[in-house]
Amino acid sequence: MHSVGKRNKQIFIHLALICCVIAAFLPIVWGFMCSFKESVEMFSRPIKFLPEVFRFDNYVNAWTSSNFVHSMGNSIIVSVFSTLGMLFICAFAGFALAKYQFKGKNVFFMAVLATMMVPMQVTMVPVFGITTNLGLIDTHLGLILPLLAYPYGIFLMRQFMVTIPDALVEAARLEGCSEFRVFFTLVIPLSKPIISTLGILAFLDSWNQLVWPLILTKSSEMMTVQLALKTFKSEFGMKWNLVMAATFISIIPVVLVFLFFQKQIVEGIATSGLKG
Amino acid sequence: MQQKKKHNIRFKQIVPYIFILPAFVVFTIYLFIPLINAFIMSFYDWNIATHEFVGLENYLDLLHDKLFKTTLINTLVYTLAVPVKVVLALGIAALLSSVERFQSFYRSTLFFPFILSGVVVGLIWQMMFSVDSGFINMILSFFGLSQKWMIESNHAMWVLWIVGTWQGLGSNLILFLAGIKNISTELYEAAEMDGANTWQRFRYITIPCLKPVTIFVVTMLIIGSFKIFDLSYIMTGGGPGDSTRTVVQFIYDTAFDRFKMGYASAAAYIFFLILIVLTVMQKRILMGEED
Repeated sequence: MHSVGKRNKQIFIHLALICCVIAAFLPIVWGFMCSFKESVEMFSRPIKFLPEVFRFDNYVNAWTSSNFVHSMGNSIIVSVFSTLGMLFICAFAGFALAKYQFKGKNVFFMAVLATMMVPMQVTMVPVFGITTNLGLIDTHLGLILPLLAYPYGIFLMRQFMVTIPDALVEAARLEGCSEFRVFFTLVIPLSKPIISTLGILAFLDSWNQLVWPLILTKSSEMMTVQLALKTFKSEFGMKWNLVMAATFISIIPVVLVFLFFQKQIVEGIATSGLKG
Repeated sequence: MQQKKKHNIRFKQIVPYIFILPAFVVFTIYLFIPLINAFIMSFYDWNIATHEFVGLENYLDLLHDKLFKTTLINTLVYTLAVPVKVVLALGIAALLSSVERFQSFYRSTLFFPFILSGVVVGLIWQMMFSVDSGFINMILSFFGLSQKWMIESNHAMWVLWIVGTWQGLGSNLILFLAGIKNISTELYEAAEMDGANTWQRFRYITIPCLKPVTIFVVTMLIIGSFKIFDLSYIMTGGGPGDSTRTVVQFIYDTAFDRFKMGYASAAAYIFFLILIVLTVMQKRILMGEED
């Protein structure tokens, strides 16, 4: 009797969860279906869920339309280099803060902690000014640099590297390793978990960036993919099937990252509260 | 020999500075200086042509700026969805933790929308709410109804609430789920022996044990809601009228459409101040209950 009640309860919970999954995926599937429809089909009555025929024309048209390929390339360059650069900078700084004593250490760490809370909306106006003065408006470098100043990255790296035993570092030094070899051959391999988590989340974040590219680029050749989608929407007006095709092309890298590194993403959010 | 040793010691003292140098340079140029600059600019009439010191004028003008007030209210209204988001995430996390099979499948699928950008989510949902070819109207048309969702101002905020909740669920769900997994099973077993039912166990064990997680989730949700820009910018562009124009969009428009950099900086600092006050208040209220 008891176990039957328990089984019914489990079935009920599964049903509830399946409803949630449907709610989570319905909009995505709907958009995906629309990306295969023909323009006239979009306005046919009654509205239908499935396209009459699965057409790939929209994908071809979106891909070959003005600057879309360019924008994908720009996004890849900016995301890859900003992620790598941020990891290097934060790992270096985290190591210094975790394993050395030096003058000004506490001041710098306090400054990093204090700026963790600062939203980019506060700094975006001066950053625009600085980028203009450096002549970096409308360049890849101009888009990459602001993403490198990521206080939370330094904080997490430091917290992780503090847990590496001093004895290990000391032993490596006694064996004659230079400080840089200690860093590259001992500390970096040991810090793999935090580096991969931080790297994956930073990549997603920079791929999905809208505000920085909006402010820091001017020409259509320098658009990132998010900006390209935004202009697509206004350029193509009512051609939503094309917009959807472009949208689904744009999420391919993100979906790949999700499929391969799901575990790290989920654990990263659960343990560090990154981007809660 | 001795000289080399001396050299070595000196080098060792420099090492940490070499490690910290890249971070120091980037942070100074892109974070510390801009933070100070924005503060200074907020006391200036700072346009393309003129930089004139005006004291507190920007701040005083903002207090009487109707559009700024409207965007503040809109942002606050958007933040009202936070309790719903928390309850949904907590409820689904509780269901998920009590399921024996397919748990990781549910978790990954429910999490998926979180990795999409604001632009992508905005576009996909615009399709859902589209007047002529949207899914929502397809369903409504079965009942002979149809709705001009994003065109009418009293519905536009609803759309943002729904979409924001949909997108943000995944990360909060994961935080709650991790929190629930950390609760010792002995507590539940003891409660079951004492005859506590499912609801009682949830109410008197799960919820109290999740307090730290809840504080974190609520704080992050409020801060996140206050920063809303991408979604409303893509879906409604602030309209219809100004009914979904948010504070961040006000800052953006003021700085980069109207080129009033000083005025925008003052608005940004007010925005920042509100965020700090909200965070502190949040922590006080939720922590205070414990005493």
